Amino acid sequence: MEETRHRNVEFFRLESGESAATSLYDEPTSYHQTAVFTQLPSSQSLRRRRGESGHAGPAGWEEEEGDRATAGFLKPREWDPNTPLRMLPLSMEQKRNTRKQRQEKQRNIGCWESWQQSQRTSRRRLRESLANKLRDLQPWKAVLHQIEGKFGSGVMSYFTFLRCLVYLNLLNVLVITGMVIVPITVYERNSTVRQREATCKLNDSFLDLFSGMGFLGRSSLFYGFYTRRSLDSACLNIPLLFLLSVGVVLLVNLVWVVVRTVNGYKLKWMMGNRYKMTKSYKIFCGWDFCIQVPDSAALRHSNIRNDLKVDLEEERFLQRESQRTVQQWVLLYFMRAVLNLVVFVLLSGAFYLIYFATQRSQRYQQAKSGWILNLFMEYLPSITITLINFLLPFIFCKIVKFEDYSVANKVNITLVRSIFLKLASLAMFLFFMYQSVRTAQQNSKSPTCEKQCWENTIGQEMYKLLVFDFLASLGNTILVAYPRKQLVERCSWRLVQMIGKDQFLIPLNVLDIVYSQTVSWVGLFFCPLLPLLNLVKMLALFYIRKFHLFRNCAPVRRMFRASSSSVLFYFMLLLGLLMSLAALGIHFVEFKPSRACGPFQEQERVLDVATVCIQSLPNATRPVLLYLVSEAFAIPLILTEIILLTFYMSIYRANCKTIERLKDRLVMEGYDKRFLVNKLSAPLQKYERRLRTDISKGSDSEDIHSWQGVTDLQDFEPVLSRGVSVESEEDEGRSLAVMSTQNDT
Amino acid sequence: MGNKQTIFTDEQLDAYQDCTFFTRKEILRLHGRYHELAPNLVPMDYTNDPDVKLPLQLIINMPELKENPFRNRIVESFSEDGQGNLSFNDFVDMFSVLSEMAPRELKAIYAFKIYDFNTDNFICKEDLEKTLNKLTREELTAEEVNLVCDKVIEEADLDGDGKLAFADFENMISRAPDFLSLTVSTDKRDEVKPLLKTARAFESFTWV
Repeated sequence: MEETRHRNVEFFRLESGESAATSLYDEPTSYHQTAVFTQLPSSQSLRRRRGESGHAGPAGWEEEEGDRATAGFLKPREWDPNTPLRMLPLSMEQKRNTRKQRQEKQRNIGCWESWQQSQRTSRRRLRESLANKLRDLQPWKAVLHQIEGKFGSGVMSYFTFLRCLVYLNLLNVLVITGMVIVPITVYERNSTVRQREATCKLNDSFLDLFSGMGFLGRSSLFYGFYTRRSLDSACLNIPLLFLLSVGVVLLVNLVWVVVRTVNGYKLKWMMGNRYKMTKSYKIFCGWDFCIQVPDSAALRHSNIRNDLKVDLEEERFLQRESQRTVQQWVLLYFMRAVLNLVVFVLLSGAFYLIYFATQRSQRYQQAKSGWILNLFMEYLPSITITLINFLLPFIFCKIVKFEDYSVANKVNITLVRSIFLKLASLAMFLFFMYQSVRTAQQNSKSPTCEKQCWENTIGQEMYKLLVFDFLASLGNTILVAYPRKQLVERCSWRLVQMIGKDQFLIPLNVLDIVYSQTVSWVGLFFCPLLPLLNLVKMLALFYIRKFHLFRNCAPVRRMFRASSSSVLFYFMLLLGLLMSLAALGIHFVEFKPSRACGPFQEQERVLDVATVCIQSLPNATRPVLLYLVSEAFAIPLILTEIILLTFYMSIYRANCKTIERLKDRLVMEGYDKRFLVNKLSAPLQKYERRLRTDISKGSDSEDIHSWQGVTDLQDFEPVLSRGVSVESEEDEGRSLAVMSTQNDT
Repeated sequence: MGNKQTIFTDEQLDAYQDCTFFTRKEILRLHGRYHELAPNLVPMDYTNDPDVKLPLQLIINMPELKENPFRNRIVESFSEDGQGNLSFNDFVDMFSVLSEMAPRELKAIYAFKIYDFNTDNFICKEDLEKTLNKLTREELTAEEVNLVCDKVIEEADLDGDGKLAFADFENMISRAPDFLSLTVSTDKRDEVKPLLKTARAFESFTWV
């Protein structure tokens, strides 16, 4: 049956086979059915491989219907004898045969060889089992799997990001504990501070847990706890260790965030737009093969559909955009300018509100009764900031709808505005705090039981920010989102249904945890155990968010892909880190450490401890260190870096160009091959046609036999296989060209 | 070793262990599942390699595959005759390739076979249209389907012949960080236990 089908197609091709210059797109499939194609070395070796594996098919091209034995599209290659059997794309029968062959081969090799091989196998098995065990050790693995299945990989990546930050905070806590807390506990000794503590204990209460004063203020949580104590040598003292631990933590975090940002940048942007294969990914990687529940399957189907519809809509938007008239552009820009002004006004309003709240909170005198009011006034800045951070992104989302951007840009712009809002509000808050510290330092008083030293104050504000953020998140989940969901499910009023359930918006949620991490970095110097609090907060947040996701949220309508980079988020983390570094730098340069508390009490500047340590080092090292910080070292270093950067940039550009050239060449080679095959088979078809017409005419002249000999194609074979080792399309193209010039008679 | 099973010889179990990603226990469990599908047809004693094949209809009703839009193609790709009749060897092979331990390259080879509906070793536009319709349950209009397929071919076709050869497919897949969604779990521990693994280098995401 295959033969007649083969012939039928040939017959069909005969009609249009007059011209050798057929358009290449017209009959793509028949190209593969021409006799010449089957003689090409690439398809011959495919058939040879098929023959080897015990499925010898009839000669000539046919579909591999019963033949999944070897993947016919694979390039012919010999399997590396060291490849584990399970990695081979063969059927089970073939794998078992291969296994038998390998075992037989093994019996013939010497004992050294077989020992080596057995060592290799056992090492591989050990590595695999170790990798499996390590993967199983990771916490929350089952939960993440569950989330992935129900909500997709985008939502899961939020939780993975949260888990990463948990690891980071754990690392920070370990560093600080190891470098500061442990030496202190080891060298503990009574000091004068203890006496003051005794008198101050009278005013302690449970509320200190929230306000950060009282017993909490005197604990190791805050800056004021650390003094020089007994560890007092020139280079090994608590202040220096304190400084170093903060430096090490920030440096390690910086390296980590930069590495992550760079990885994402590499994949997303360096490949350029030509490699954006988003649609292909959506189709080929879109379905999660693990889905077993009909509801999840239906959800996934609709997610994929919505995703594709949004893509198509974006294409239509781009088309519309390219057709806008000048008048429309002017109107649009005017609108955008107005809305940006609105955003600016909102932001300034927010900053003024923060300033106002900070001032009121600082000036408020604690009343004896009315602890609620006291607590409220203390938390006023935190409440303001949290409210602003909650409301304004929502308003930005609404505003951006009027600005007529594409879907992707809408989200990007809202995100940029929200990031700016959160980081700037924190920066403004710090700025106002520093202002009030400066005025306080000018009228300096020694701290009493009620008034703390200014570093402690700042540390407490950071502490309050963290605590309130956590409480707000908890409150939102339990007191707002859960009742809302119950209401939406029970009540069928239109207003209620319009509000709907809460949505789990990934970008804004990630922004929350990035903000929390930034607060922990900024407050690190003033409140060294803040990473510990952040760690606890993130652990709790994981479960709170999981509850929120599973119980309170409407199903995610669009698929958020966990694929291409979220460079912007790691970049945001980087911005937060840079902001905290800047704040710390300003602190070291501008402010005198307070006289009566903290590890730097006796110094003029915080960095004096480092200077003292360096001066105490042996004389030999001093010139080296002086050289390292001088210009003579820095400038050549910068120049070298610039040269390296230029070098890598030019390599990158050259590679881009090479890639483009190779892609074009690939296309050209394919065209050439097809053109030549078509050109070659034209004379062949002429012979066949004449043969058939002669047969149908019934003439049995010896011409038939001579033509039959020609159509046998064996004559062509020597030309093809004549000492040409064909490894690539290019070579095949060249040999075809040789053939075609020979046959151009 | 003290295991009292009489289904396979030790040698057979070793062979299965080497040729798949499963352990002995998992292979025995898989045999149990295979037997469950047709208790009358499938013998409990496999020591002499009986030639028993289960038809397509039985396999695609397994809970792991029931909701999968590509279940027919999956079973056909792993069958010897291309019609979907699986022997136990093929059955084990299928779950081995679809398990989470199989590497991306192996999955890419079989994924290509699965998406190649007319088995001509190319993913042509008709194959793409069928894939898309199965993915979206035919809820896109014909024009939209056409547009999307054109876009995909434009994106992924490197040698310009209007359809995807395996080289094109592999090239595209190698850049897809979350391709390993081609995973089916036979673990009974969790009914929805997906094994999507984002690329290990970065766990990041986009909001688009």
